[in-house]
Amino acid sequence: MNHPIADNRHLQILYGLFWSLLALMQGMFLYHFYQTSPWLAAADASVYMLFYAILGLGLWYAVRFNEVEKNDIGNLIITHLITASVTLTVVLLAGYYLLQLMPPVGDEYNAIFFKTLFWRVLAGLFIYMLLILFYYLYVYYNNFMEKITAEADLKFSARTAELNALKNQINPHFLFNSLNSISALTVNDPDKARDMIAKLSDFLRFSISEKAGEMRRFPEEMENMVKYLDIERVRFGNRLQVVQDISPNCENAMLPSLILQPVLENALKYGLKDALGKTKVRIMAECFHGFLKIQIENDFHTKQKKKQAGEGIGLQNISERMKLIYGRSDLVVIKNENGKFIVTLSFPQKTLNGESNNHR
Amino acid sequence: MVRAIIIDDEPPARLLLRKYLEGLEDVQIVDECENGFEGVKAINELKPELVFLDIEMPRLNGFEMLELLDELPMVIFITAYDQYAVKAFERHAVDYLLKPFTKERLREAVDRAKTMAGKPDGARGVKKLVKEQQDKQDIIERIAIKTGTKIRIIYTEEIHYIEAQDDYVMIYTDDGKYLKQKTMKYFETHLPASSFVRIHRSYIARIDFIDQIELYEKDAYIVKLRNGQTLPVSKSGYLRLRDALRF
Repeated sequence: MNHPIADNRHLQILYGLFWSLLALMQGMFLYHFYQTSPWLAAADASVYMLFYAILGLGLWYAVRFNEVEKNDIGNLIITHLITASVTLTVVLLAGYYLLQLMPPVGDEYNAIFFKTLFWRVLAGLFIYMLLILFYYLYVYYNNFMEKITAEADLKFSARTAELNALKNQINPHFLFNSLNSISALTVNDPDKARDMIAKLSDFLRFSISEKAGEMRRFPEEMENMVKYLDIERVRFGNRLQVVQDISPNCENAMLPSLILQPVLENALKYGLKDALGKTKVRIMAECFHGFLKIQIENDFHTKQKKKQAGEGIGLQNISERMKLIYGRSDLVVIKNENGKFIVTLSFPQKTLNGESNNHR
Repeated sequence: MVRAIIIDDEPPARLLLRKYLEGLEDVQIVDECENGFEGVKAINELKPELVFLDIEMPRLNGFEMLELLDELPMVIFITAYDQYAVKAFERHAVDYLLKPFTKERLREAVDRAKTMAGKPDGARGVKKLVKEQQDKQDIIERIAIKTGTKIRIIYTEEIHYIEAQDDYVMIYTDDGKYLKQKTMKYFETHLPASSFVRIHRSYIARIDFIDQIELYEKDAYIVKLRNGQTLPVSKSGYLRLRDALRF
């Protein structure tokens, strides 16, 4: 923790004003109640307050290294009684002897000094307490703010870690099967092989670079999904049919990056798993009432009644992520009807700072 | 010359393997299949010496398919990424290829398969592996049954009940009954416990297919099924039913 006054220009000015005010008060006091000469009152007041001001800066260290939380209260009182006595003694003695040296003061001052000694000690103690109080408040405020930021940092890093854990990792099956498909394409369609390498690279780049929980524009996310689907279509040929039904007013909608791919992967996996022939995957997106709604559905074997919902660890992760990001648990809906498995994701379009990203 | 069949559900994967094998003079591809059903049929009809088998396939995976064969050929397994399967392959000294693979790696696998094919129990490793995969699977969700030339996949939700018949069990479903060479013990431990109860030494019933449980005579119960049939319930069977239904 830095010195509160030494490092702050505004506080330095205030500090100066504070001591000037005290000096003025002391001067007036002497002049008024003890009928001293104005010259003596001014000299006495400024010399004393100057000493206090200088020693006062040093008192910071008495506070800084005697924090309330880390010390026994008895020790603190003793420490400050000693510091206060030393400070007072130094100021009074130094002030007394310095003013003795000034030619027009002389004996008048001597008498006044001892008459006012009681008040001087009382004022000194009061000033000491005031300074200490100020410093302690400053330390307390600083610690408090530090704690708040530390807590916020901790919360933030815990959330990021959680999100990263939930973030979908690249499925090794997908990666190696795609590489195998590329290997096959080099045999009779090198152009297509090159095309697929580029698409796979783009997809991997996107998956690696994105930070969990980062927001993206929907069209960018969708573009990446199309690349993913293109790659899968090479692998599965005409067995895999993809229907896209994207409403044009979703251009500016925002969503957490990489949240659609696991859902789509899940749909493909289960759609293909039980179909010997063709299987259809449908992606729908629409925007209304401040929500981007995305629905992904796949055919699945009707005789297997509730299987898919129970198996989807991937889908559970998505629900968790949505909860962490939006603080709501009603944004992922999983349905199972008429031989279709349907996952609906709703993304609120109001961001945290209150801006609306939704285009009407 | 080794006669071989390729079984893989991804067209590019089949293409690549075919191209590689065309370069090897000692392997002749006699058929290509895109799922396990076609695979069983082709293997039984063409009796190849060697099968290139993808593990991940729709409905009937590679291991389930092998289980349906009467006679096992030499198998070279192919997978993209399956650490458990790879460990099992190593354990049983069964050959496998990891996608994507090189032509040299394929050459080695074929050479090893050829030397093994000459031996009387060359396919023993594969047999053990298939057995192990079956036992390892905790809860089954489907049962593959071969009837004549057809293969029927029964999902556990379709089962009415299972009846013991010596070394076999008879599985009763919506559309008839199917004989399977497996023990009652196997089904008792491998069918989902939340849906099936062993009500009798000779019967396992699907809970959702039970209509009523009736007192038949003192301390003896029977269950009435949704299709009107009745099955006997043993004393311990009754206790298991009570546990499952919490009454």
